[in-house]
Amino acid sequence: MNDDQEKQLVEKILSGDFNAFHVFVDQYKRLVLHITFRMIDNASDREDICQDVFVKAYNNLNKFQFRCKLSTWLGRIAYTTCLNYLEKKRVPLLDDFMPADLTVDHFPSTANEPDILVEKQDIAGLIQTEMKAIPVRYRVVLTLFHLENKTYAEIGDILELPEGTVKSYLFRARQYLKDRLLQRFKKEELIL
Amino acid sequence: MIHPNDQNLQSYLDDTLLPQQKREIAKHLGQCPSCRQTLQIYRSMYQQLQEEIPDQLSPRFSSRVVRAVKNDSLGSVHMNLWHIFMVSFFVIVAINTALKYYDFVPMLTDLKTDFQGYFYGINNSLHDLDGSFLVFVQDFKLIVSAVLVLGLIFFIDILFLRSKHNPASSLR
Ligand SMILES: [Zn+2]
Repeated sequence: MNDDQEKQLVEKILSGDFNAFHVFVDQYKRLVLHITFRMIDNASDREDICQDVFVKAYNNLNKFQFRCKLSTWLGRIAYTTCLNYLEKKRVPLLDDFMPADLTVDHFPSTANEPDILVEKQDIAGLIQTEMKAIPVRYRVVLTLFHLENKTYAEIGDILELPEGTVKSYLFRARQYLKDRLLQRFKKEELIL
Repeated sequence: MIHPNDQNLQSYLDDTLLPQQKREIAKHLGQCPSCRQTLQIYRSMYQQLQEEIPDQLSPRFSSRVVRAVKNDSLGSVHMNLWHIFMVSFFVIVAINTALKYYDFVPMLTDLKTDFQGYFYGINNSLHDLDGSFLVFVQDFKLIVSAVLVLGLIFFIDILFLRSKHNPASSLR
């Protein structure tokens, strides 16, 4: 969706066109889903949180100034809504997690004996499991970069972090995942 | 031989290196099986990271969100009505109280005369207006009671809307 289309859509929604809002939800639900599902482990709350994000967006749409992309603005709402939820549920955000701490030794291993036969599914499964062991900010950065193809700058805008921090989160998270995979599988098994 | 670090290999795959750095790493990868292997592992991992998250939203998600927003804005219309009602209610109560303690009849009579002159000038059929101000003052108590009943109805309405819109029940 280009800038003009975004502007038109926002104007229609603000004029009370609920069909336009339906289009808006359809357009951006994937983004909201990716952020929410990565940050919230509790499956029964996720869809409600996604709805909450869109209701908030609707109620604040008149404050949107077109200074950034609509998706960036919405992504930020999704991110802060999830953070608030996690804080309310007292889920540790591991914010005081120091860079050097993101190493394999600090996490309990989820698997012990390497299997003889490795399926692609196993690697995917391990990545999904390991994803839950890393701090939420790292997860969101990984998801926005790889699944949503966002740039460092856009991710920085959503998480309200400097670009350099986004980059280092991304590198460390991927290196951690790679080290985890190497603990669990042989090198040859990981080359698909 | 100096091996590129993990960060460099990742940047190589992200394609965010300067052309010069990119060439150097490509050259190194051509000669170093170990780095090639690490790069391959990253490449497999990148593929996995691009796979969709398996959990999906329910198919009626968008419609449900639109419905929630519609209900919410209906709620805000009710709130606006409520505010208008409260303001007018207090104005009426204030006038009523004032009328109780001060004698406004001479002033109202003057006002009536003015209105009479004005309306007679326009249309003779508006005779009935004569004296209507005094009737209005006499019926004030009745009007206030009616307003109070209306207020009670509105209040119940608001309580109902509140409970309907509390996040715990509306998000289900
Ligand atoms: Zn090498």
